Amino acid sequence: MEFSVKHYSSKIVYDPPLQCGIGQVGGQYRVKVDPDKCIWCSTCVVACTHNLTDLSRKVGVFEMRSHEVNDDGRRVRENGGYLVNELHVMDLDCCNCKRCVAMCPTNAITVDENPNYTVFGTGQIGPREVHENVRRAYGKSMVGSMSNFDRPLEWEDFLIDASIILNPPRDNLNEFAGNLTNCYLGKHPKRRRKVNIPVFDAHMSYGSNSHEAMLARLMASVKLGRPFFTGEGYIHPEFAPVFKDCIVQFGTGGFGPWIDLTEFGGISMKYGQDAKKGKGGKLPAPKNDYEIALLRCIEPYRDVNSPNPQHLQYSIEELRMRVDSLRAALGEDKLVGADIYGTAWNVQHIVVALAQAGFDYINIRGGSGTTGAAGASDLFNKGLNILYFGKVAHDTLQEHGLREKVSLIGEGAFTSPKAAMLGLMVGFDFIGTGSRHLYPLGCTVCRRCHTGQCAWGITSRKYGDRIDPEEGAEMIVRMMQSWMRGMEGLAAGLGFTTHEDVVGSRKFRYHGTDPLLYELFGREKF
Amino acid sequence: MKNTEKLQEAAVVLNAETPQEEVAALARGRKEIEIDCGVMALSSKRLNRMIKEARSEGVERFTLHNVCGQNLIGSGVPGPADITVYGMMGNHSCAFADGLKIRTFPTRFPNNVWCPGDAQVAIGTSGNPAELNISGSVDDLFASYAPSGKFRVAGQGGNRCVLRAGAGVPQVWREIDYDAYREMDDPERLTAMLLMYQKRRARIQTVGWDKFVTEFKSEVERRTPPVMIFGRRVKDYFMEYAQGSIGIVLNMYDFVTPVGYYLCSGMTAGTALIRGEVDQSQLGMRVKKTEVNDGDRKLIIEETKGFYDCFIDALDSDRYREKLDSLMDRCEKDNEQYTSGFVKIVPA
Repeated sequence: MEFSVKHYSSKIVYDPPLQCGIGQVGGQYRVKVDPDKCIWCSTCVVACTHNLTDLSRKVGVFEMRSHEVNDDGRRVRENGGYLVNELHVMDLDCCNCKRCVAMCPTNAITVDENPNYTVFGTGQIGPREVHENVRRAYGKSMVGSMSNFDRPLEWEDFLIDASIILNPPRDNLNEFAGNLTNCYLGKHPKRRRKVNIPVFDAHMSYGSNSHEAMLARLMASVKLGRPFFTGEGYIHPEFAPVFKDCIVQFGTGGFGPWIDLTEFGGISMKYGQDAKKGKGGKLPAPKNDYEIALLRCIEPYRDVNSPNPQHLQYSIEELRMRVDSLRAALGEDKLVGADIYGTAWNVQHIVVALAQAGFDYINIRGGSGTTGAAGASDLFNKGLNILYFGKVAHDTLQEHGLREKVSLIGEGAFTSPKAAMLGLMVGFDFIGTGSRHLYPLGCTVCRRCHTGQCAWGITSRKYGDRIDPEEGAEMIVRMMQSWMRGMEGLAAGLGFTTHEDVVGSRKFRYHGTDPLLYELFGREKF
Repeated sequence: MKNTEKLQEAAVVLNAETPQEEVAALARGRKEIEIDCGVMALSSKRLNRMIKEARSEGVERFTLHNVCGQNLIGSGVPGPADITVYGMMGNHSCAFADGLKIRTFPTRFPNNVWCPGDAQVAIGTSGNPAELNISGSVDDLFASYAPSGKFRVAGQGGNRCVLRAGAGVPQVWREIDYDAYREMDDPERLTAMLLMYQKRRARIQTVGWDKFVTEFKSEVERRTPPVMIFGRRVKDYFMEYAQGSIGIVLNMYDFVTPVGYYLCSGMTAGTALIRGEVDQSQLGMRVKKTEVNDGDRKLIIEETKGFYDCFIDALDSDRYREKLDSLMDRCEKDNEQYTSGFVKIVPA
């Protein structure tokens, strides 16, 4: 048979993304093929064996597709047309192994970083943290080693004490081990609250978040069986069906109607916050619309100041009165907590005073707030490491015989399950993560929250309907379930059985360069 | 009739000796009850529990005798109810109170010690009382964070009174039917919330965001802001960070200036009406003095009359009565001149 196909054209085709939406910014690496150099030899097709998006596919990043066309350029089936070669490139599948680059006979291939994937966020919370959590939210499997080796984070300088001899590891998939679902917030038998996961969503105000973002986070918390902490901007009356799961925050702004308090799960007194250290907040007038003014019981379209100094409390002596006052308002079976900023020298005195005053939990913030509400000076001065606060708070409360009277919550850039586990092991009962819950809604930490222009509708009320609250809630639930699997696996690997075993166990050792952490967790004798 | 005589004649009087478990039985079927705090004998918590227990049995009027600094009076007690206090209310009383009418009076304790009808720190904080009338003076943070209600103080106020007080509670918060959700399981509650969201979303899609938000305007305007009236004077930081409340200082003792410094500091909404002179140096940043308008004049006259009716016979002090009569005379004889003596302070 006569071979009559004539070459018509060849082109490089970059495949479109598999789907659009949250987290879809292309692959981590960008694969480029120079059409002037390519000789359509298919060496790259043979060389590449990776496909990150679908392991069952038979080709990797490259696929050569050929077909024939007639004189008019239309596709034809019969032999005798003109040959068209298409080299399809799916760079979502690339893992940057560089074999294609090495094998290409004409040096036509370049693999570099995809700026859409890698250029966003802040130095502290960057694409790695966001992508990892979004992948969790999509229900994708994560690296099992818990080792984040691709970036030198302070969390990575911890040697987890997983010796088989000292801590016989357990198999949490086949035995009762590493179980973290049975936790209690608060220690008093009358009012302690059963919680199914030791990781909380942190306080963020209605208004700073859109209605839809708030609803998604709130629904996720209910589904996960944990309390939902409002910010000091109070809460929307349409969330009334789940008020009993909400712990409202009372800050120096004191916003809200403060009626029907017995319907809520508790109150947090906000004595300090990490996003604005030692300062009050300010809601700019344009964001204070009629609806926000109704919820907060203030005048609309005015700048709203939360007082800078913490007038909430006049003295340590008055703390107990404050707790009694809140209990009188809420009922004896409700939680009363204190949110504090981790201070440099006197956090020990503060936690003891709060515990003695009768607070059910103390929420310590490590000063790494990444919201748009944070001033530049706050972002540059992120405060002491939260693990330091966990240790000193836990130890000090134990010394004073108060540890069994109060729960400790730690907040401060816990970006992964491993970080959360370290938090529990230093002495926190629970970990709070705020921004993490926004990544599955689209947040890329662009730090424009204060403008009300968020294109994802997270911090812009006007564009809030870009979020589907039901789907957003599901994404957050999946992300948190993935965290739980990671934490429970590690807990079992360390030989722990329950949540109580983990808290304060300190089965790790620090070997990094942070002098404070080295002093606390690294100096002990081997 | 003297307070102690009233107490002796009362049919049921609860006191420190009354077992907590008997409170409900003693209160059942009554609309009114009296409690003898025995000066220091009854603890704040027990007193609070007694009132709550009795309130849950339907008691609507409480008279508390021999009160000496007991805290938490009225806190967490569901309104509407009246609480009359003979003696001095302690810290955080009326905090988060909702719909209560609370009133203090001076009294004489059984040991013949006279006690003013004062109140201590953070009285009425975050509260929405129907009325809170103090027949004496108050200390710091009075009516701080109060979203709504009427607050009157016969004497003077301490520092930071009316801190960040609000602009009124909208009706929407009064219309929530909590009972409808009580028996629901989690999926049902989430569904109920999503159904409400669907209506909201449909409305936004129909009218657009800007109009949707404006639809809340009428409800915003229907709110009644809290009003706080002080008879004598107030100390520093009066109405600091205020957000819509109205504060009035009647200055019935005719001080040259009845207010301290940092007046209305950080205030971005609301009005302070001060009778007397206010120097520029006494003001906080970004607030200004201005003339009273017709609406202010009407409000001042109305509130002065209300204040007079409330306290003219309350303090058992001839000098106070004389001063209050004199103030009322001036108010009634020449409205224009009386109200012109007020300085109005608003956000700049």
